[in-house]
Amino acid sequence: MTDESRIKIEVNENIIDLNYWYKIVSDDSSGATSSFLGTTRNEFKGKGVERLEYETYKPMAIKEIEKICKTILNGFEGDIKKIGVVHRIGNVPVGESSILIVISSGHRKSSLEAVHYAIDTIKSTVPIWKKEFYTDGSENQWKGNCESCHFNNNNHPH
Amino acid sequence: MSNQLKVLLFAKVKEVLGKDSITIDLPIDKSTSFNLIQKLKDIYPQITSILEVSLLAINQEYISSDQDIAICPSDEIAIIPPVSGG
Repeated sequence: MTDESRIKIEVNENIIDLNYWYKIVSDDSSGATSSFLGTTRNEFKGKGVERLEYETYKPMAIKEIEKICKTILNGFEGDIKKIGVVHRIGNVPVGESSILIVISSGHRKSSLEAVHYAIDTIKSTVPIWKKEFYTDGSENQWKGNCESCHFNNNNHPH
Repeated sequence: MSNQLKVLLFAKVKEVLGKDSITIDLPIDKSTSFNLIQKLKDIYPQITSILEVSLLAINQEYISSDQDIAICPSDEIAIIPPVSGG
């Protein structure tokens, strides 16, 4: 199978459908499926959060996610079968999810580690931004991931 | 002779300047990434501090901040503030 047929990426405003994405990565040669689901939390440093608003530079975001997926397929001892990554854009209220990474592999170790690598790298390199809106009406804030200082992109797969 | 370079803006830079792109004039023999950043700082001092921690992307690829590369008007140029996806 080509790399492309084993990778599915979406960046859009839709609510994330977990069943759909688990089906995307199902594979008869896979004995493990690992995932990360990122969700809007109701507080930041004690301050009530109402929602997050995400913005993207979509064509570049998809390219950067593709690079990460290809690195994963080529690493992890060749054990990774399929990868699905979806990032939601626009308003994401508390309790709803903004990102799902789901990866199938022959054995559990490789997909568990690959999911960890994927979320850390996505947070540091993919051009997506979030703004936090607070319940107390105080001024909303653009966030910057601590991983993304742009000066230490030293993430490598295991 | 000068190059007109369209620059795409996102997140806080877009919000501060109130538009999603700007056009910057640079002399053809000075159309490089370093000169573009400097000119942006000169024209829009209100985004200087964000530019210090942002990267340029040319044709949807990051340019290392220590790399001064030539830019032409057909390039897709974007300022990428620190990202916060996930």
